[in-house]
Order: sequence, then structure tokens, then C-alpha cells
Amino acid sequence: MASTPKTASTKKLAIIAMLVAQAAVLHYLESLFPNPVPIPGVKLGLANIITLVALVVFDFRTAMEITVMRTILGSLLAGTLFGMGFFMSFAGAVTAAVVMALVLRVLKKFGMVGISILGAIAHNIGQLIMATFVLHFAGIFLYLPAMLAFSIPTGLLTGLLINEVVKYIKVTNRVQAILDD
Amino acid sequence: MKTLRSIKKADLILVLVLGIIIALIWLWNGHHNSKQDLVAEIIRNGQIIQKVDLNKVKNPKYITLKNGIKITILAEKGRIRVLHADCPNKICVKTGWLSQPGDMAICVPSDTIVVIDVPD
Repeated sequence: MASTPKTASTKKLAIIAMLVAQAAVLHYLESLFPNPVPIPGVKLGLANIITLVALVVFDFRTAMEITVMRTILGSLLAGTLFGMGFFMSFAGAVTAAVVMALVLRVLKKFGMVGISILGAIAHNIGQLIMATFVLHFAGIFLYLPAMLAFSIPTGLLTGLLINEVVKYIKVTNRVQAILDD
Repeated sequence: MKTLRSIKKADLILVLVLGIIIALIWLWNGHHNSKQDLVAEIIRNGQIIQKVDLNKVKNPKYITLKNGIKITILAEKGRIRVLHADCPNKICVKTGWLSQPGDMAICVPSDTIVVIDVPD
């Protein structure tokens, strides 16, 4: 965690690589699901799970690195790299990481569910800001209310999943053991 | 359910506050959109390329955009939709009919937006 001695850096690197791979695959898998609603950019946010897990296990910088790398790798796998959709999910993922880090470290009141929902909202807003730039059309913000509505169920689902993952990591202490070793 | 117990009080308050905000936006929109003045704009690459007054359309009108990804738009009296698009996800086609101010169909790959103007 905070105290990462030099000897642990290779192990940390391995865990980071694993998290990036997992997140990239989740990002890709999610692009395979047909979008059930006629709003571009609405999705479960499964890859966001890894961002939040990384925030819990590591520091903000590492979580951000993982988020950036998985967006690039995931888009590469999905074949959307450097398309408009890529810039939108990139902006969304980065905004979500920043907001979730703030909520997790500074506010501290929320559980994983609340953090996920706020992350989902941040993702939507980041996405819409980027969309305004690429489409030159601020009217796209009319989608925000519907997106907010979707952020509740999706945030709830990913939040509960993250809880299980975090609980597992804490119970088994595997990641910590590897890092402390 | 053990998992559900992980939800904190602050989380519930957040959901409640969000629910109220969304409900208020919906109510406000319903109130705001009562006057029907329907002008559809077709925007490509950030430029309005065509405006269609949907109240004045008598016969169904097909509009085909060819530069780049091909898109066919169908306008009828009081409503407009993207009928066909040569893009992978077809989100704009799935959006279906647009008939209220603020309704829009967006095709991200081809940078095309069909939106019904919101009156000021």
C-alpha cells in the first residue's frame, strides 16, 4: 500500500499487469453486449470495478495508470481505438477514477455502492463533456437525466460486486501478503 | 442477504436524492414540453445541414446522407426517425421515432445528430 519498498515493486507490477488485463477484458466483453437502450454510452461499467479495486488496494496514481491502460487496451481489443467512442470512454473512465478516489479518500462516508453510483455519474458527465467536443453539440447533455437514472441500478450492481472482491482480498490478504513480502 | 448489508446509510441517501432529482427533471420536462413546435435539425460534423418543420410535412419524406457513413432518415407529420444507418451499433436506428422537443438520435461513428429543437 502506501509503503511500497523497492523489493515489492516487481510484485506490484505483476498485480498491476493482472488488473489491467482483467479490466481490458471486461471493457471488451462489455462492448459485445448489445446496448438495451437507445442512448449511446449506457453500459454496466464492469471495467470500473477494477478501477475501484485498484483504488482500494493501491494509491490514486496506480489506479489512474491502470484505468488509462485498460481503456487503451480494451479499445484495441474491441476495435474502437481512437474512434469517437474511445475518446468518450477514455474521458468517462478518467473522470470516474478521479471522483471515486475523492469520495473514497476524502468523503469516506459512502460504501462501495455509493462510490460506484457516484463513479457512474462522473463517468457519464466526463463522457458527455467529451461528446460535446467531438460532436460540437452541447444538446447531448439532454441525455444526462436518463443516464443518471441508469447509474443507480448499474452502480448498485457493480458496487455489490466490488464489495465481494474487496472482502475477498481483505479476508485472504493475498495482495497485501504479496506486496509486504 | 449478507451482501446487501454492505450498503451504507449514505448510499441510501444518495439513491434517494438522485431519485428525487430525476423525478423533478422528468416532471419539469413534461410541463415544459406542452407546447408543440416541432422543428427537426439534422446535424453532421457540427453543422446543421437540414431543418425540417415536422408540423408541415405532408407526405413521408426520405432524406439520405451519403458523405461518409450512409444514413437514411424518414420524416412524417409530427415525427422523424433514422431508418437505416451503415454503422455497427445502429443506436440511432434503435432510438426509433422522435416526436418531442429534445428527443434526439445520435450516430457517433458518422458524427450525425437528428434532434428536435427545444423551444426557448
